[in-house]
Amino acid sequence: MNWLKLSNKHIYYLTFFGIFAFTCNAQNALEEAKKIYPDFNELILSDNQSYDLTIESGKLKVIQDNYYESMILTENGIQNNKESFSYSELVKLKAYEAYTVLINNGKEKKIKVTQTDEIQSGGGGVFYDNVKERQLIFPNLEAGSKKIYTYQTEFIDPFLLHKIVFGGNFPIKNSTLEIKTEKGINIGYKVFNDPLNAIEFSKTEKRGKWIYKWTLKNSRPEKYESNSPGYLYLIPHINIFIKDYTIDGKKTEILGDINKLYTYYRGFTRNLNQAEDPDLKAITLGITKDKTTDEDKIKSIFYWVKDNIKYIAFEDGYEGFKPREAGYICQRRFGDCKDMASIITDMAKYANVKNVNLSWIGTREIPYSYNELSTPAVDNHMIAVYKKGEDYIFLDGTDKETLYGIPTSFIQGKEALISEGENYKIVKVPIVPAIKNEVNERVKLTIEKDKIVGTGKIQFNGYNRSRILSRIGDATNKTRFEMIKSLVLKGNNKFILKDYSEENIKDRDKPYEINYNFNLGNYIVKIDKEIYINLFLDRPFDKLIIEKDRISKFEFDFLTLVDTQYEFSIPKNCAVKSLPKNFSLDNDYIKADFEYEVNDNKILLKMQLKQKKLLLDKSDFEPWNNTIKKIKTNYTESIILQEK
Amino acid sequence: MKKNLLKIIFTFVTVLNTSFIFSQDYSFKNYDWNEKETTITIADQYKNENEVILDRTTKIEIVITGKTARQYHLLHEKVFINSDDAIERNNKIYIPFSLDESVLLNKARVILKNGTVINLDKKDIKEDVDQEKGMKLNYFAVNGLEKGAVIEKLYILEERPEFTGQTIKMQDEYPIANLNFELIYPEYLVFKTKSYNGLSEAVIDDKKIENNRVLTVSEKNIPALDNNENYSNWNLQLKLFRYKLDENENNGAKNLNNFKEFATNLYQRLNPELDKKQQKIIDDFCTTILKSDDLQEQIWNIENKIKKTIKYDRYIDTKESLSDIIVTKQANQTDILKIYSAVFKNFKIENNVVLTSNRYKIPFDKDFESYENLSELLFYFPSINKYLTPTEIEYRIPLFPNTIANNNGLFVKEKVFGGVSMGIGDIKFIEIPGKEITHDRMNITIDFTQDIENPLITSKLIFGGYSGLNFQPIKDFASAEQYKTVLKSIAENYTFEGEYKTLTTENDGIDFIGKKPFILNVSFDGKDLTQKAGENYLFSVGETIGKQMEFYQENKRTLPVEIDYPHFYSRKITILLPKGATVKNLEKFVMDYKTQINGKTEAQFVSNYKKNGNEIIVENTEFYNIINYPLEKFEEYKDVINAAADFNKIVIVVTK
Repeated sequence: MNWLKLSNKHIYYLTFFGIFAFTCNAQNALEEAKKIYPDFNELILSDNQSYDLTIESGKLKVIQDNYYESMILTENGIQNNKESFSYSELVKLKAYEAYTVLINNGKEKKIKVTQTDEIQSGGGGVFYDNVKERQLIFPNLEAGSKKIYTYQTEFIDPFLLHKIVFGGNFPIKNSTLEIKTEKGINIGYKVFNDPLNAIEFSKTEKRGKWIYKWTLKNSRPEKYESNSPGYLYLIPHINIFIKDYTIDGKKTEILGDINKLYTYYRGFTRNLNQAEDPDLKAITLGITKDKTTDEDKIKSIFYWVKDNIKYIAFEDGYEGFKPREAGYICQRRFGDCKDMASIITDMAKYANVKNVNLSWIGTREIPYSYNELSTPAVDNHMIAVYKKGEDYIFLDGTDKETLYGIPTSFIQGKEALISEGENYKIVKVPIVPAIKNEVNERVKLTIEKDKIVGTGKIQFNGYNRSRILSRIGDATNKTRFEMIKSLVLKGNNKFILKDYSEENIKDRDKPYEINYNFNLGNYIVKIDKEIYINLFLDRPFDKLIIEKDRISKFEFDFLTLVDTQYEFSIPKNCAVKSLPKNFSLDNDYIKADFEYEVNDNKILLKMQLKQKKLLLDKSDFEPWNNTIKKIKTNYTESIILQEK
Repeated sequence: MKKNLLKIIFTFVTVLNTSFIFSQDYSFKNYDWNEKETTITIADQYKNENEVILDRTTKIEIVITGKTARQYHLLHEKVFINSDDAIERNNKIYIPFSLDESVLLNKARVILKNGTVINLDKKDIKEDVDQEKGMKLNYFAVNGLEKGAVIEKLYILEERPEFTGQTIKMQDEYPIANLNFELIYPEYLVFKTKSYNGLSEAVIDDKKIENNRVLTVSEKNIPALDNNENYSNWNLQLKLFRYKLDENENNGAKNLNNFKEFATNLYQRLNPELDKKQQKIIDDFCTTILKSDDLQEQIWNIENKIKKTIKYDRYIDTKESLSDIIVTKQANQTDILKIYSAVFKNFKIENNVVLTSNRYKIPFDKDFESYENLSELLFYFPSINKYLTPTEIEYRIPLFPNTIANNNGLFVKEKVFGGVSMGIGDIKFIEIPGKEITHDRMNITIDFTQDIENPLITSKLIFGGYSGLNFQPIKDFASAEQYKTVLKSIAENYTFEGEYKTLTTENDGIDFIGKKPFILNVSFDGKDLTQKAGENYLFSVGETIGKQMEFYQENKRTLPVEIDYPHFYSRKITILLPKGATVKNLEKFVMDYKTQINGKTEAQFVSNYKKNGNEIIVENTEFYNIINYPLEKFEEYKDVINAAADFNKIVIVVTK
């Protein structure tokens, strides 16, 4: 009896201490987390994903489990009471569960999440993709409580495993990826952005299965920075794929090299546009009938597609991979990137232009090359490519204004995987040099009373043309006036645009041109018998000083060349008292030339700035800033006129 | 179905049931477009427009069987598409409706210039469900659209009837050639209607459909109203039509859907009898709230406690009891009002619940009680004449969203009749916190004494009220790293985009909102603002006050000015010169511009300077006292705005 009593007592004590210890731990967990992460409202304790790859009933089965656990660290943290996850036809949701965990009188108390809703995921620019989002609303949140949810999905297509990103909006204590495979299944993987090997990896064997495990501890959240090329350039992540699997001695190849990827892709396009579409054929022959060269034909086809096929993306399941029939696209007058590529290649056939092919490509936010990663994660876009002799012309129908002969800005420098029947070819898209995107401006200035009065002509080429025209669109009246004004505004905001005219809006072979008249108040400074005037009425790049502690690379959409000439008429009763020095600079980033000339009664300032590098690495920041500072110093130099 | 406040209240006041059990005929059941009408004729005046609504026919029919009411809603529209952008604006059609409503008909076709007709294929219609919002969406992309084509769409929805007030826009950013609106209802119902901004009055016909009245509003050639003027309120300037059910002659009910009844019901709903257990939970909750003898501070403490412990979200499920709100730490609109009411009662703080609407969306017309105007929530404290927003987490008393201030509101206050508490409703004006609250001060020192080419600039920038509220909450929700970036970008407006030497803040974080202004201290080198010109130094002193809004080229103003909140700026710039140096053009600092309305100065920019030896002190004040400035006062208003922009461009000439 005594023994029993004692033992009971003992148990009681143990339990008591157990609770106490646990309370301590739970309270400490919050305090400790706050100490380590004082600036955050929430800490993700675990973000775990695991894949279970098995062979079941003669088939490969891919099940993914997710476990997420976060702790609210502050009172403000309760505002983040929602979490969500998505699924689709190709990644089916099997189960989910969510609960809040409270520390109540030292005990952990689970409260089930009852308010969960399927909501619309509103996927960026995609019109319809049938991707569903399950939203969970966590109740009872307070500092120290935890949000926990799990969900399980099944991957229907073994080619389409996700990439796993070890990062997010909050710090993460523990991110894990685990892949369990039966021995007949071979996987491949590639880790990105882990220069210090912070991700721990192990491969072990357990109960006849391979277990691959990657863990990253204490990752900091992503910082938002403008002009960043995107998180895939910065955040540690792992791309995984299935290489092959063997069932009953029969091996099925999946991914691993470009050939296999191409074979998979080819399955989506092999049977495309086999039948002739009389309507589309007639349209094609109509628009190419006066064109004599292949190039003129393909150019007119390309522009017809841009003008007539609007971008609307349907990406439900394999719709996201498979281009539609050209005739159907023509009839609907809209399509997504694949459809644009499909119709361009088909029209080329009708026009009898050879060597116009479909091509897969990744946009610039994807940092991988096809060799580095031969999986569907490497690209996200499709274009048509015309091989003209030894040159390649990249035909991207998704952007309304981009000119024939230059690729869209967001694929510059990327690899195109060009389909040539059963073969393919990888070709690098060039970076369009600044000179093709020239902004050329000629401005004549005089002084009338206290104001500058001027006339100007500005021409936009290449990407500058296409970007501006797509922004202006069909704007009319005051809206258009304000847009034009913002393009030609110079000096200060007391720039009064008196009138303007536009040229070559429709003529894509010519630069978009604006002719304008203006006056500018509160700009020149008159003191006693002297007039101060700074001829740099525009100061390109002067705001582009990069923060010292910037983390991401700094990306430009495209390279620009600015060529401006200001011709200033010296007032009759004045003479030039002082003229700033000429300036030139030429380095890896910018070539700049500022040159003053005095002729008769005129001062001419020729300003030319040419940009050279599209993506600035961290090591570029300091020399880039020094370059900009030098240019800025020269911008501040004024001319002094002396009244006679 | 998710319930919001209004829908809950609605069930108390409606005289009719609104279920969908029976189906009955409605007059436009067989309505269709004219299949054969496939030629496009565009009037000359519209040929060069990018987009024209050629025809817009709307029919809303109320059908009542026994105690069941349903509403059928037809829209038939033809839009002329004449630019690439117009194609892109119109080639995706979305029809949203509630989960308990349905689409009876949905057709669309494109008529091309050459007469070719492309019909919408039913299988192309997609449907999405949003369980949280209780909404469904039917949508489709329009096939075959080209410039010069017409899109014709026709749909009929079966809906929950709208009796409590609805405002319909009868004007747009694009011209409308023909507009026809019909409201069809049993003859024993009486609807109240009103046309705004020059829209023609409704006409009632009781012969067209037997036992029914047909109320019609029609207009031709409604011009486009451009939506591109700064500081304006476009939505309220449009031609608008408002209607609501006012009488039911069958049962003699009059003045239906009035605010008085709403107030009574709301009060009852928000102040349930609490049992002891419930009361104890409320009392316990109240003991965790910091006490203060100052009423405003006490309310601030209550607001702070509730906002930091109970998550408000419009779509949270309604809790069974008040104590459940405290336990689950979640509340929707009704629940959040309940919890505040209970806590104020515990603290014996006299208050009114105030309901209003966003002043930039629809008018709050005192003479037309419409429940649309009761979508936004506030508490009012008569003894201190201040408001609190229960729903916006970053606000604290006396600040509340300016979009619902300077507007009328329904004030619901408690009155005791023979020992019974009741809610009494009154329409009153919600005053916006004035310029004494949103008062920005700048204290800028420009010190040329060490280096005349590179003066040291030290600025203390104080942002009060609404202006501080723009910055104060960021710290609490951004990481330290991200916050630093935000501060830098704020500072850049005052450092001429340059780099700073020091940057510190005071009073940041929600804990200071409504209590203390946000302060940004920044110092930087002024070399980018200085240029040497011969013997002189030109210094862009005006840039130190930051960029200013301007109306230099606003010559053809069409809409009156409406601003977000009253604002006062006091700026003091101290210029320290080295010995022997002078400034040549100090007279530039003397400025004086005013906007006078009804003999009162409602906006002003005044600037002056003093010189004491080597120290020059420039002082200016700028203020905007009120929210609305009539169109005929625009020129005066513009002068004040532009004066500040001119000040920003002042360059002084410093000579040694």
